[in-house]
Amino acid sequence: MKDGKSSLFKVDENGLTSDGYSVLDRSCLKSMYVSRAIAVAVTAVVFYLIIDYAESQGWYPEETRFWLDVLFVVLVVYMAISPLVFYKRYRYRMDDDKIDIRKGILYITHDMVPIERVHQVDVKVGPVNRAFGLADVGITTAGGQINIQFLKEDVAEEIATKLNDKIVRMLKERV
Amino acid sequence: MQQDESSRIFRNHPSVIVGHILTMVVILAVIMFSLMKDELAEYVIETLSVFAVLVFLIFLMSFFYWKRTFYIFTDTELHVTRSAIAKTDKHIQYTRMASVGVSRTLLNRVFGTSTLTFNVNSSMNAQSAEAVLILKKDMADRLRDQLNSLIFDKDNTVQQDNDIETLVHVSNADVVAHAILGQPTYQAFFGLLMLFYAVVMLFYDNRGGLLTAVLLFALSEILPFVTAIFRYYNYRIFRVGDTITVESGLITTRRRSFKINKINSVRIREPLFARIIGKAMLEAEVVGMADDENNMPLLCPLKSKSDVSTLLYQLVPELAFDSKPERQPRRALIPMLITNTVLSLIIAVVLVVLFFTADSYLTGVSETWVLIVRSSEVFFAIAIPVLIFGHTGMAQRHRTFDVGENSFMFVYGGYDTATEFINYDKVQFASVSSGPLQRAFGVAVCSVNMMSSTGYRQISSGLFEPDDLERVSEEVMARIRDGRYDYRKYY
Repeated sequence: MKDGKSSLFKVDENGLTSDGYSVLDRSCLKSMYVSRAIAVAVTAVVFYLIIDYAESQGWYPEETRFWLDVLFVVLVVYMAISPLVFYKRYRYRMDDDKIDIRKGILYITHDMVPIERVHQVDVKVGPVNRAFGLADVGITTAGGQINIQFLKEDVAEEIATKLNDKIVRMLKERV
Repeated sequence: MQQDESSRIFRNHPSVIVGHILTMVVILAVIMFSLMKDELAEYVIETLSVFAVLVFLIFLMSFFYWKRTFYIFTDTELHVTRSAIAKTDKHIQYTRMASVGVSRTLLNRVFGTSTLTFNVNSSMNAQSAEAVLILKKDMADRLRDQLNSLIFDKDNTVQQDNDIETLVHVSNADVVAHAILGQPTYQAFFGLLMLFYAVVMLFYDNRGGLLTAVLLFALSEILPFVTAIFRYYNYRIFRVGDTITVESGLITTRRRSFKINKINSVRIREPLFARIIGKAMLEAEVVGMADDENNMPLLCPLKSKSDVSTLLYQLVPELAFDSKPERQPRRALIPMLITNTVLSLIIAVVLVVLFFTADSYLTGVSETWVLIVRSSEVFFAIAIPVLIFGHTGMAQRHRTFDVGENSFMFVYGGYDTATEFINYDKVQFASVSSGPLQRAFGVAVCSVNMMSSTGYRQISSGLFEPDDLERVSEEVMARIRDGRYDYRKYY
């Protein structure tokens, strides 16, 4: 079973797993760590400013501080481990008629979007992702949006172009 | 351009100007009196002059817009054209229309008019009508006769529609029962809690607390009760060909028609108290047909479950199917119980700590208040875990899942339950997910996203085998691949 599970993530010379999924580039880890480090720093500043003020006002007993520190350490540990798990589990696949995404850290999700339902495709590049040459592909349907995250920019553009072409071809066939 | 009924070119009835002026007069009066109540007595003439000028300007604007707005019904589309400050041209294809509504408000009755609303099957404009047209009632009826054949392929006249027998007899007593028992249980519970709080505040002569409690009770109980009675009084529903028409109303009467292919899902909803006495209601997700509170359109107010079930098969046999549902497996109870135990423990511990440290934060208040707070802490430390575990027990008992030929069924909820039949072809995307505890016991949740009357909506199943739940997305794809899904069916 263990071998079976680990083989799901073995990538062949085309960068695909045995069941035809693509995995993320390792550079996504850097982007995730940088964004999480920024999030942790901002949270720490806000969190401890509030706590120090509350303590100075005597709003809660002193021993509560210990548990708040524990909570913060748990958060930091989660932020440190979660990118690795996210990277290990993230897989995506685009067939002729559907997009499959398998992802998750604590909760593992399998999303399936029929291309027939896609209304709009866009490539989104945030400041941290840009620094590492990464981008997300946003796939909008009438029922909400799904993203393929942390792709190399050229891969994201290629997927978006392919998807757009498929949608345009489908719409032309209907006219 | 001129109004010409024979060419199906219409302009709103002039009463629309009166409606605008009345609305603005009320808004202006409230603003002026609230902002300047102290100065008003001193500058009565000046205030009234400003008021009159503003009302006159609004009249001029309304008149200008009224004069230059036309609604043209061609053989294939509704064309709304306005050349006022900016030129607007809106073309609405009949094939894209989800529903056409007719309502008669008090103002409509005074002027002998009807309001026609046209909604498109779109998540972008789901909450407001694409076009609203006010016409003299007889003219509106004649136009509706023509639209019946243009939009809905119906040959019936309005008069013939009026003579059609309703598919389910809903007495006004049923409507009152619906108004009382049709509310979600949490809302009814909150209302009763506020009533109890109001009584306590009355007993302790606390006017501020009493006013707040009475206001919250009125908002959560009385207002929905009165609204439901006004909305669903004289309820009728019928189906002609592929068009369903729902009409009701006490003062404002509403009649709305929509094609069967615009229904995404139908739902039998059973709030706890209604379920105890064997009653249920039927609702439908029709994009472009939310009510004023953005709820799903009601197809049947509270009736016996057998009546609702019969109506479901008569009204939308395309979606309903005889189900031999798969029950949520017993092992799914374990992750639910573990999660709820942790949650209950956290809540109970917090409340117990608050109880034992009450002396530190309840300083300078009366003994009665201390008693109320501490007894509430004990009460909620027991009641909340009991409610959480009760919900788990009920959820385990009711949650089922089944797949049919054209639709699949999720039964979800705990105290309030819903049985929803969802059209495969309306699923925009589907997800199967599981948390660490759920994975340990081999169960997962399926969520489907679809367009809804308020934008988009996600519906989630109970906890079932992941492979069983994957059948939903597999069937959605299979229907697209083998041609059972035909986009033309939904135009």
